[in-house]
Amino acid sequence: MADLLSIAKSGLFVAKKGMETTSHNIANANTEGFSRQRVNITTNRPIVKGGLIEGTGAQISGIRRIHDPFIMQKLGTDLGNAKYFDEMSNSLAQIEGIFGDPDSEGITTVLNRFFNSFSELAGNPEDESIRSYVRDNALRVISDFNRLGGSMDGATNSINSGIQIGITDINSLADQIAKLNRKILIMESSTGDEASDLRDTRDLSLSKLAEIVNINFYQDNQGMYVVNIDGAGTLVAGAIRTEIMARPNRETGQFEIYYQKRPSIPITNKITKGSLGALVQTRDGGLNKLKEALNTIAFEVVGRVNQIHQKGYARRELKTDEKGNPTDVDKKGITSNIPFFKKLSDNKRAVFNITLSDEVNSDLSNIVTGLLPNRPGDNRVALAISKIPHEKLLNDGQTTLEEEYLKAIGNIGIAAGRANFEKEQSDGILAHTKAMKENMSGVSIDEEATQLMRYQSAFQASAKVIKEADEMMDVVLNIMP
Amino acid sequence: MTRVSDNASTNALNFALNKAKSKIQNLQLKGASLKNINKPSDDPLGNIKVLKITSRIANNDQYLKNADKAISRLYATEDALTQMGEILLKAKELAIGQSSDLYDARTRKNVAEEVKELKNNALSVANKRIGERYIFGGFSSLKPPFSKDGEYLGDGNYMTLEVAKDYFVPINLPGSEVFITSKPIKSGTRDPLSSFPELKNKTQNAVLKREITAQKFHKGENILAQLDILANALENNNAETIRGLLEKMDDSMSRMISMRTKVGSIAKNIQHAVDTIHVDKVNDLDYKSKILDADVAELFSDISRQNNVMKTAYHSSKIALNQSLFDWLR
Repeated sequence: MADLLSIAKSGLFVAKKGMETTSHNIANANTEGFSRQRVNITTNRPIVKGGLIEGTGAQISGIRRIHDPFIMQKLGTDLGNAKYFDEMSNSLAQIEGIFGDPDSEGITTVLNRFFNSFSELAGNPEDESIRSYVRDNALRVISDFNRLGGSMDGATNSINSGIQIGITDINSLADQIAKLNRKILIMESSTGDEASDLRDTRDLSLSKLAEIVNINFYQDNQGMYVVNIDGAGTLVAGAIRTEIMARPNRETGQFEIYYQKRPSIPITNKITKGSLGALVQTRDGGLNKLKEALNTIAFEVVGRVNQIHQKGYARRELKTDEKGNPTDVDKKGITSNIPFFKKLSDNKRAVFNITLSDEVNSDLSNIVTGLLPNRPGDNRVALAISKIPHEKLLNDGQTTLEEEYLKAIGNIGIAAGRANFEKEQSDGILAHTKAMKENMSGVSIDEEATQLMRYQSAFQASAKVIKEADEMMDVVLNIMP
Repeated sequence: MTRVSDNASTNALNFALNKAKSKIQNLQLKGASLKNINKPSDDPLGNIKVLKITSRIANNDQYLKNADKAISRLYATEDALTQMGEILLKAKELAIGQSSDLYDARTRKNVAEEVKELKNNALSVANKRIGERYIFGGFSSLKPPFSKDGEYLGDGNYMTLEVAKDYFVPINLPGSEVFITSKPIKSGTRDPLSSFPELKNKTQNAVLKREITAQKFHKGENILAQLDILANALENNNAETIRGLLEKMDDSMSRMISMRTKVGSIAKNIQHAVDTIHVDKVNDLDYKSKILDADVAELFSDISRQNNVMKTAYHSSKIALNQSLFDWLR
């Protein structure tokens, strides 16, 4: 009789644990990263009594989460890809926003007007008012280059601060994973059971890490995660983590990423996935190339215009010596070899350094139109300057100024377009993997409802057995007088 | 049978809704701006094409302006040539009349005064100005090209303007060519870009060469000097000299005519270039609009289709969510 009671009691206990676990699942139905849990029910150890092997009821051998490590690996990869293209599409959108729609005013229209103003000047080389129109257009070219430079610096700054935030996040996530590694080890070795909830939390931190940076990871023989930045080095090994940092490069001022223990070896170019990877690639690929291209264009505009402008003479009556040669200097400054823009020695920050020469700034007669002195109708210099944008002067005579500029915008447009496309693709793949994970590990309320009913009826049945055992006991007891 | 968790179905729904919404947002932007390209990535190649076309249109506008200017300068030159032709005609009529021996010294002296007046007229035509610019001075455009004695002080250069891409036309005639001075003057630069080897493209200066060198001009002499000689001969009653002048004056008149022909033919070339540019411009604008402007009918049918997708997503989510087995358990 006592056997019966003890078997029924084990049934009650198992059913109650089942209900508890179901209730835990329902409670966490919307908890991020939660995996549904199941009680593993096994039979108690049978006993041999009177030549018979008898069962002794049920027991709980463990509570396990439903989880597939393969999906976790795939999720890591897909998150890295999706966040990479997501961030890349965002940063490129910011950069291409600088150029706006093709119908609005931009550097192409401003440059075009500047060079056409020389064509206008060629029609009236004697005229002072056209000269001031030319100078005005030159100032607009300068301010538009400045504007582009400012916008690009702004984009670089926001990327650099994005990199710093990414580094902080990586370090704190790595810290969490290392701490959880330790906690899980302690908890599991003391109980022998699986620390499902903590493992879920650790997986969640790992997923967040995979969103930021390209990682690979595996579990060591103690169940602790080892996390590496792909191709760069270890981030977390068991309970130990390695810190990374971002710090500006001395030469370029750009933020580079290092392991704190190896401050001489940058790992920036190893960061190829995740939001951090997108920031690094956008900066080092798209943005820096764009800056380089625009600086080159500004530098070339300055150089080419000056080269031709310096061939002629100032447009004013110049005193001549006996041989008819004009004086080198007069009241308004030098009379020939006059630069239009201030000379630039290289294209470094040319978009910011481009500015009018002091000569042109101080006196309009220093805007040269003619090759010959004292020939006000000579318009050849103005004509030649107006031809600059049509000539293939860049890249060893391969491209015109305009083509070079359009190439730069084109590259950004293509990169942004591709990022948008890839983002859509990788979002789709990620959604699929997430669905796989959720369908495997997520809570289904319907399923929990049936579980609830199952355990409830098992509980009721076990209770009934106890009641029956009690009545049986009564019967036996009542036999006695 | 696949197991479906609650989170999986809400995720799927979110994904579908976001996708539909972002498409609608894109279409709304197009609908609001009526442009296919609002940022370079919308159509990277189209974007570049539009920028190229836009600057080509701007260049063509500049060429049209230049052409207008060139034509007005050439017409001013033509006017001067016409006036000069009339002066020469009058002078020649007088010369023919006075070349016969019918007239005596006194009459000739009177006529001489008339010829002097004609010479002054001719000088003012040769020193004609538009605004502050002397049209016959070559590059020396701010000083009178002819002295009182008829000496040429300008140079033999042509001012050119670009009236179509790489197509330069002269907009002046140097006085040396029109009025032929006694001293030979070097004819000036014709290719405006010849001194700029850094500009690699060879300019299309066919018009300059064809008009100026291929055509053989009637030989002529200094017209102003001819008038001076005529006046002197009349004053000195020298019929022989007057007779000798007649042929030379014919040459001068022919020269005026060939110069006018030349101006006319340059103007015709310019007009031709202008016509071509107008056609180009229409084509460019058309092409640009094809790339840049949104097709309204297509756009709105896209929007309403995408709207239906949204509605369907909403509707199906209403059915699928908010339901569970618990609703049926009492």
